[in-house]
Amino acid sequence: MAKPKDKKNKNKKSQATSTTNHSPEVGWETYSLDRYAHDLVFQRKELDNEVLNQVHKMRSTVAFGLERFWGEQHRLDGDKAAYWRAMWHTLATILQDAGIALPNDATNLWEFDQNHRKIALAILTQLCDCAIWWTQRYKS
Amino acid sequence: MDADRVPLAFRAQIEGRCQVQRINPDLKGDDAAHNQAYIWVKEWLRGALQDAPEFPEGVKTKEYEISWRFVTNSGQDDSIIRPVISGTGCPFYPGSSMKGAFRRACKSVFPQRILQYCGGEVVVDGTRQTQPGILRFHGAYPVNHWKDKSDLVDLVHPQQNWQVEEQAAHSAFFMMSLFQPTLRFGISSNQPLSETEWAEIWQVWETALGYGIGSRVSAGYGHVMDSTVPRLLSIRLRGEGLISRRVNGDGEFRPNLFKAALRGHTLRLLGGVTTAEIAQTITKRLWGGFAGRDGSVMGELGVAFRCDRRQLDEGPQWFTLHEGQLDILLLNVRDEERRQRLRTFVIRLIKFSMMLGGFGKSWRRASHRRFFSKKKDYRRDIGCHWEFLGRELGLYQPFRNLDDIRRYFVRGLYQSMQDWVMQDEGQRLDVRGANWREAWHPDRIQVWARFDDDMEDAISTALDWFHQEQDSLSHRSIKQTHLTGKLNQVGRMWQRMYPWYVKRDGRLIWRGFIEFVTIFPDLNATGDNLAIQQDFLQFLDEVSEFDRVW
Repeated sequence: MAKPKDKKNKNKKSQATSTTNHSPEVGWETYSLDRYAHDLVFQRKELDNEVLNQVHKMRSTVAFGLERFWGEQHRLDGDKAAYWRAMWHTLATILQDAGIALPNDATNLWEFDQNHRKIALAILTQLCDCAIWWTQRYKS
Repeated sequence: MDADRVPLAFRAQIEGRCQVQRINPDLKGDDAAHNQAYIWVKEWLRGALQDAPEFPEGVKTKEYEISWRFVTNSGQDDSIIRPVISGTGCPFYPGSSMKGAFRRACKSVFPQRILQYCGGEVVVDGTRQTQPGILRFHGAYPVNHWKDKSDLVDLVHPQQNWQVEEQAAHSAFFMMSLFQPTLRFGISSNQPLSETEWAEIWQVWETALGYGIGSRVSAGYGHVMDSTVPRLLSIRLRGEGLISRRVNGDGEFRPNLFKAALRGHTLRLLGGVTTAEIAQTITKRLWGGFAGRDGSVMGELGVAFRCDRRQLDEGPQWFTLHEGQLDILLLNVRDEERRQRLRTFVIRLIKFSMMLGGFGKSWRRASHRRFFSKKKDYRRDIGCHWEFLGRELGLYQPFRNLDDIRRYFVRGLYQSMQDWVMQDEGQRLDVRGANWREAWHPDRIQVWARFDDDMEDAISTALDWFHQEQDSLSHRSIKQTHLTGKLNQVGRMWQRMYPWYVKRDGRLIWRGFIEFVTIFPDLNATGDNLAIQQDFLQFLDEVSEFDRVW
């Protein structure tokens, strides 16, 4: 989490004029990935394994990039789709806090600034890892 | 970056972006090769190395040739079945799967060595501990030219609903599987072992291979050429028929056609004596299948087909198989008595398939090449013809006269299906049977037969009715009626030329053919359909050479 954070701050500065940013210019910003992940998992801890296991699939899908991840909420339905959508919205929220607007369709995802894309993927990876950790805790 | 130039693997699996498994109905003929599955494979191969990675030093290896197709579902793409692909792009069989298969085989070959080879839990001083095994399973890579092949794109076509039960929507899907790969498997040990013991370890592995590895083994995928699996039955056959087509137009003789036929007939026959639900449950127990949310059921029986490729002529439309061996495998049956009973059941099923059905595409008709009266007059190949070979001639049911046939249908088929449901499966019967179009129920089926003693140049009588327009005194045209079926509509008749044998002094003697016509009359027919149906049945009864035998 530390690495992307450095980059984030750089990007934040470069975009400071065009985005609303409530975080202080200096100092530690946690972005609370672990808490977001916990909340996502906690809300679903009573659902069946089919849904709980989605989070492992999310983690493996990250390797294929943002579009594959984004698409799953549209391919699946019911609780599964809702889970992917929630994860996607969480990612968008976190990126927004960092001053990055996450696109929400295939075309714009590939036109997304390359540095921002790298940051988004790094955060998504970490977010999924956290969610997997919490899933294991609540499962047992 | 242009989103439309992104390789398919990286796109969202939704309509408009990437649907590899979907067959695009708009792409016909030569364009069919533009289906996304073919593009996906091209993109995969572009980045993949041809050469299999080498196993580390000290790993013992052995190569085996897969008799037909092989697939290990990676599970990574939810919407499509595709092989596990290694970092270099080479498909592989994971070591973990190999270990699972080995462990299962070891149970039957050397049960007391499972702990030593594969590890497990042991109790030391009252506490449970995990003990590692001495063997490491490295999985397998294809070592032949798998990458040069254009046939990685495979088709799955679940047809049961469409053919047996009702004319429900049916669709085929793409999947990716390797075509006749030679696989190199690796096993290592953390202790030095004697050559004798290595031979025994490979013996265990060959047992595992005998059951088939990877997915869809019960349909004939993942079987090796020379297997040592427990076989319930091996049947030598020859046959001819329409060749299956891949979507891009290439032909492929697909051994899974046998499983499809046997499974379908199991449903039909059981559906005649019990409820739809019970018939389906029993069929799943026997042949495996999907059980909804509970995942899939592994059946007791599997099918593998082997033939020397030189025995198979594959033409653009038609295949002729001079000799092949159909193996019915026992996949998961410990009980000897059950095995014996299954054997009786399967023999009955195969006799029935040969007598009234056939195997492969267009199985509802006899081969027009062989039995149509004006062989040159039709433009399209239709039908199929199969015969037993060698010792398996004993599977032909000998008939002297019509009463023999009638007795066979009652005692040999209908009553024995009732017995199977009640005695072997402990389920109840239902006099109404399943409400399926082709359930084998006396109220829904008529079988008509005629003996033909022409041995060399036998000609079908019924095929003319399907193809000729004109009626005459001895001829009734049912061309393009609801009875014969049309494109995308399964007809209500089967027609078969069954080799006619009689038994004399305990020996089977060939006398010619019996032509069978099986009809599933439409009980809800109205108007024209009803008139045609009644008219035709009356014609069969009063004018034709056929007699009703069931």
